Formats: sequence, structure tokens, C-alpha cells
Amino acid sequence: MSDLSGLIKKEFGRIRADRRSLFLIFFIPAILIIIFGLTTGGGPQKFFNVSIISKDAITWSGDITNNTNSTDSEYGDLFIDIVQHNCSAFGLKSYFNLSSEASYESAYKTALKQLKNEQIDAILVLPENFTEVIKNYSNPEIDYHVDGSDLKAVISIDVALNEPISYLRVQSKLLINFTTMVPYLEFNVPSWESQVLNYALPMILPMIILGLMINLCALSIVSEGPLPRMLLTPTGKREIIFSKLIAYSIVMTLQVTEIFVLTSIFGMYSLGSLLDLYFVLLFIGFVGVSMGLFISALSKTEQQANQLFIMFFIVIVMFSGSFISIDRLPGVMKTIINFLPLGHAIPMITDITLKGLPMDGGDAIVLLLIGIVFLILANIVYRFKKVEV
Amino acid sequence: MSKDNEKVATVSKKDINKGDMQISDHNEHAKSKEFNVGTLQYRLKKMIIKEFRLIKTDPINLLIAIVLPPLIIWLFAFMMNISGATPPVKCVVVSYDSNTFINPNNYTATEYDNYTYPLVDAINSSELLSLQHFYNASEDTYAMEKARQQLIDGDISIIIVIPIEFSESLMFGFPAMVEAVPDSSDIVHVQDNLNAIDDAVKIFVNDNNLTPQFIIKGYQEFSIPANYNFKYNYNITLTLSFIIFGISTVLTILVVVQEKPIARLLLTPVKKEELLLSKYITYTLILLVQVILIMISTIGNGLYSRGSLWDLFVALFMIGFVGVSLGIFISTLSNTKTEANQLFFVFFIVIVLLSGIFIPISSMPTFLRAFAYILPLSHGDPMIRGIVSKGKGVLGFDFFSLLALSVALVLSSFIIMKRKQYEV
Repeated sequence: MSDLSGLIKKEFGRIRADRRSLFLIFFIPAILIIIFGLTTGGGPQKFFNVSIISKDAITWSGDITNNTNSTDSEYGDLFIDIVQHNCSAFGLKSYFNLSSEASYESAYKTALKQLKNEQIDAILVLPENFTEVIKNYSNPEIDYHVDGSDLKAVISIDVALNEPISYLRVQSKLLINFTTMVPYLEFNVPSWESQVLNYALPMILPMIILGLMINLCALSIVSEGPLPRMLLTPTGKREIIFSKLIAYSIVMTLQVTEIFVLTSIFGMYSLGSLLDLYFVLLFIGFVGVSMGLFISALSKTEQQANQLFIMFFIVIVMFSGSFISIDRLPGVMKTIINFLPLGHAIPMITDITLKGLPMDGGDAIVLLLIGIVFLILANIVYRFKKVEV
Repeated sequence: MSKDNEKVATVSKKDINKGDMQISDHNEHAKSKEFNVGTLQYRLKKMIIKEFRLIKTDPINLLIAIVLPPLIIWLFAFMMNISGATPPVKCVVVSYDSNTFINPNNYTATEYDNYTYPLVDAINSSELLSLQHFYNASEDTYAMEKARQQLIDGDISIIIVIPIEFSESLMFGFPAMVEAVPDSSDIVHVQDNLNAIDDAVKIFVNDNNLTPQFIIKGYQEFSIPANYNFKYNYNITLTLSFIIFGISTVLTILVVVQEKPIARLLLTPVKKEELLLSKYITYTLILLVQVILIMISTIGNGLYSRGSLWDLFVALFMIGFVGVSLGIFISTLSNTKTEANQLFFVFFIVIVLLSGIFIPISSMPTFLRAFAYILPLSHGDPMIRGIVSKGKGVLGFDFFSLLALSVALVLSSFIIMKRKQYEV
């Protein structure tokens, strides 16, 4: 026992000796959280900058009822005005009020150039008979050209267009058979809270904690020069790993506490128990320490440890469930991905902060298991590792 | 060097004429310059060979740097290819439509629910929705509570509420609202959930011939053709810049700080700048191999590129070169390997978190926005996306921002290296 406490003291001595690293471990999360806390906006709504090409003033000769050519553009102009002044989801970059079909090509090219240069997200086109059709109580048409490389714009434009259309229908008294969908967001971050910080928290908190702890621990074994000589004493490899686990876990606890306090100060919104959230962060930190020790035990050089760290980190982030939905993968793949920590950490934090649920026991156990497995692996790998004095 | 001195001495004895002397000095200066350039090239060549030998001593490290990134891309593509289509959104319907509605204009009470079941039919017809349960609130007082509990438990993603006046509104010519209550804690899928309900509403309107309705026709510009995997092509641009920047930085963070014999090396004619230059050249050559392999892996897995592959290559190389410059900059700045390692992670996490991947740059305050535009990954994804989806050329704002950043990092690393003191 006294051997172990001596080893732990030695570990702390090493950690304390590198004051600059220690400073960074505590300073960086603080800076990041302050930055995120200062950002605004970031709610679920996509804002569209659009250009409108209105052909509504072009002569339309399809009005059979009164057999006249019509150039009426009352509702086209109203629609442009609504997009410009009334909509929360739209902003008008420019509009082209065409009086002849010949000018369409040039207007479209200009708007397409704006779309290509990301000045706008979509082009809205109103046809020649827009006003006439509305006046005839028929079905008017609105065409849009959206930037297909912007997934968020592609998936949200149809629903977003309900806003200006609804305003148009109300202002033009076109209310008969008007059916629409009205969203009421449940478990969202209230608009008066820092939405950027709170929607990003479930992702960034585990990322910061995992990243910093894996990074710190990944060099703990591989960079220690006198370890082989220490093994000539009665100290065993298991004790070395265990002492490192305890020392780095204490550093991790301090770091998690700092992150937790700072996020609370900078507007963390949590419906659930803060204690539960704190424990989840500790579990994530434990996984980080275990993974770091495993990488360090596995690597022969510091550069290898660094390379392995970055690969681990990229894989953990890429397969966290944010890029690929785990539910859509086959069973084997799902099992592999379930063994990565972020897939459990993100839903747990979301459930606690936004839904007010208690800590999910299943996910917590899996997180702890991941940590324990990596710790056992680190022990096994280190036991079979040949160290030369 | 001594031979050169002798030569100069001999010449000065022979040439008495001052003019001759000047010409002779000029020639010697040119010769010595030529000699210096020759020796510089020689030393650089030798040092580059030394760098490669050093890398060869740790083949696993090189293997990780060169083989793992294409493997990760392959794994990523594999996951994208085997992941199935988006499953329908699980929902429940809570209908208040058959409850008594009091018309506020004439205080008449009605219980019309003519449009409830047509709407439920439309929900059932929609391929985007999967109806789990229908609650009639006029029969079940706790319908909404039950539905909310299902939403909290994650059994469903959205509650569709048919309000009390739904049928009456349609019958009397007022707007009829279908209320959608999505689980917004899952911010990634909120829009998918709302789209699914919008789809059901459109089916309802069409099936019941509720005119006039606005017909919205959409066309996608710069979209990925149907025969290419959309998810892979959409996500790969971000992944590419993330991987190439990460691996090139991590490969170089220890190259200066871990080299123990630098102090002794500096006792030879080798200069600090030459030492650093040799490292830049070596790791740029490795970067070239990395970029080529990553491109082969990306294209082989079904990348669709509207722009030229040469532009894509240059873009990837530029992102990687910023990584190399940052890595060597960190390495020259650090005094110990642990310090380099920690500094790397500090740079990496700040770059990843503030590059607009997790938080849109437009949501940041002005000072932070300016800072975000200095970070390399803020330019990586838009530059690659511009080339592959929009057919843009590589030479644009993003490229020149990266170029300026890498030049600043390279210059800084040379200045730091020059000022750094080494003890034998």
C-alpha cells in the first residue's frame, strides 16, 4: 500500500513538474467554454437568404375567362414584400421583377452566380400567372432552386416556405381550405438561454474532456524514461498502471469540476439533476484516462502514441452518431460503434439537460465498462511489453 | 576553406593592377557563392536523407501516418454505404377534434370531426411517418400526458395534435392548423420530423381536394447525382479536411523537439534554417504521398467531383501543408515533447470547435468570427465542397487564406528556431 502511495506521489510529482501542460489542461476548457458562452443564436431554425425572380408582370394570355392579356403582379409584389419584411426564416438578397420572358435567362444567371458564391441559399421563381391564379382561386405555383450542396437548406426549405405562403394567404384573404402545420418545439433550449452553448454542450463537453484526458495520459507510460529501471525494484507493472490511473483520475476530477462550474456560470441550461450530469462527466473522464493509458501502453514511441491518439480521436468523433445514425447500421457495426464512448455520452447529457431525465443507468454502465475494458487491455499490453533498461 | 584562402593570396600577388584586382575579387566572390550554394544543396540533400532514415527507424509510426487515414476513409465510406435509408419517424396522434368547439362569433357548439380520420389516413399513407398510436382525447382524458411520456422515453419522435377546431375550420373557411410537437432535444433530426408531418399534410390536402393550395416545386442546383451515395459525398468533404489536417499536424509536432543531437549538429556547418528547411521538405514529400493515397481511397469509394481532380489535389495538399507548418511551428515553440503534445491538442481542439463544424460561424460574435476565419478548418470544408459540388476552382478566398496562414506559420517557425538557444 505504501508502495502504491509512493508511486502515486511520484506521478503527481511528474505532473506538477510540467507546469505548462498542467496550466493548459485547466486553461483551455475555460477559454472554450467562455467563448461558447459568448456566442448567440444557433437555434434549430435555418435562415434563408434568397433572391426572387418574379415573372408575374410578364403578359399572361391564359386567362380564358375574360379573354384578355393580363400583366397583373399584385400578389407577386406582395410576396416579395412579405419575404423582405415579415419573415423570420427568410431574408431577401435581391429581386428581379421581369417584364419579358427574354430577361429571365440573364436574371437566372445572376441569381445562380449568387447561389454558387454562397451569397444566397435559394432562388424563388414566381410564374407569369401567379396573381391571376390566386385571384381565380386556383392552385398557384412557386418554384425554388436550392443549393443542393447545402444539406440543411435542402431538407428545410419546403417547410420554411410555409411561412411566407401563410402570410400571403392571410393578407390576400385566401383562407378557404388553408391547412398548414405549426411546430411547437418540445425539450428545446428556450430562446432567452444561450442556444449555441446549450445545443452544443452534449457534444463539446465529452469531446473536451475525452480529448484532453486521452492526450494527457497517452504519453504517461511511453515517455517515462526510468520505468524499466523501476521494474528492477519490487514494484510491479500492475502497480505502475494503477498508480497512474489514480493520479490522472484525480487530475481528471479537478478538470471535470472546473468545466462543470464554468458551464454553469456561462449559462448551462439543465432541466435535470446537476449531480447526475457531474457523474456523467466523471464517467467520460474515466474512459478518457483508460483509453490514454491503453494508447500509452501500446505505443513504443511518443510519436506513435500521438498518432494513435489522433486516430482514436477522429474515429470517436466520426462514429459518435452525429455523422452517421447508428440505428441505420447492421448489427455487427452497431456493436462496434456502441463500444465508442460518445455514442453513450451525448444522449445521456441530452436527456439530463434538455429532457430533465435522471442518468440513464444502461448507458452509464456501458461507459464504465468501456473504461474498465480499456484499463484491462492497457494492463495486458503493458504486461507483455518488453522494456529495456 | 584553407585552399580558397591560398588561392586568393596567390592571385593578389600576381595582380598588381588595381582593376585586375577588382575583377579577380569579383570572380572569387562568385566562385565562393557557387561553392556555398553547392554545399547548401549537398547539406540539404544529406539532411533530408537523414530525416528519412530517422523516419525509417520508426516504421510503425510511418505506417500509421500513411495507411490509417485511407483505411478510416474506407471505413467511413463502408458505413455510409451500408447504412440504410432513413427510417420513418415514429409518431402518435392526439386528436381533440371531436371535443365540443364553441364558435366565438356566435357561441354555437359543434363536435365535427369529419377531417380527423382523413388526416390519420394521410399520416398512415406517408412513407416518412410511422404511426404508433392514435389517442382520441375526447375519450381518453390523459391522452396528451401519455403521448408526452412516450416522447420523453424516446419511444416516439413527434406528437401530432389535431386541435379542437380542425374540422370546423376547414368547413367554415378558416385556416386549419395541425400542431406538431417534435422532440427538439435531438436537434439533428428536428427538421426531418417536421418534414415528415409536412408530407402528411400535403397528402391530406391532395387526397381531400382542398383547393386552393400553393404548389411548391423544388429543383436542386449543384446536387450530387442520384447514382452516387449522397451521405458519403456530403460528409466526406468535412472528413477529408479533418483527417488530412489532423494527421499532417500530428506527424510533425515532435520533429524538432525530439531531435536530441541538434545542438551538436549545429557545431558542424549545418545552420538552423537548413535543418528546419530539410524537415519541411521531408514532411512535405510525405504529405504528398498521404494526399495521393487519401485521394485514391476517396475516389475509389465513390466520390463525385464536379470540379477538377487536380484542384482537389491542390486543395488537400494546401490543407495538409498548413497542418505540417502548424506541427513544425509547435515543435519549434516547445521545449519538451510533452509540451509539444499539449500545445498540439490545444491548437487542435480550438481549431475543431471554432471552425464552424459544431457552431455556425455566423452565430459567433464579431471578434470570434474574425478569429474563426484564421483557423484552417474554417476554410478546408468550404474549399473542398466548392470544388467537388460546385465545380469551383481551387484559387479563391479559402485557398489564399490557407496560404497566408501557412506562410505566417513557416516564417514564425524559422524566426523561433533562429532565436532558440541549444546547449550541447
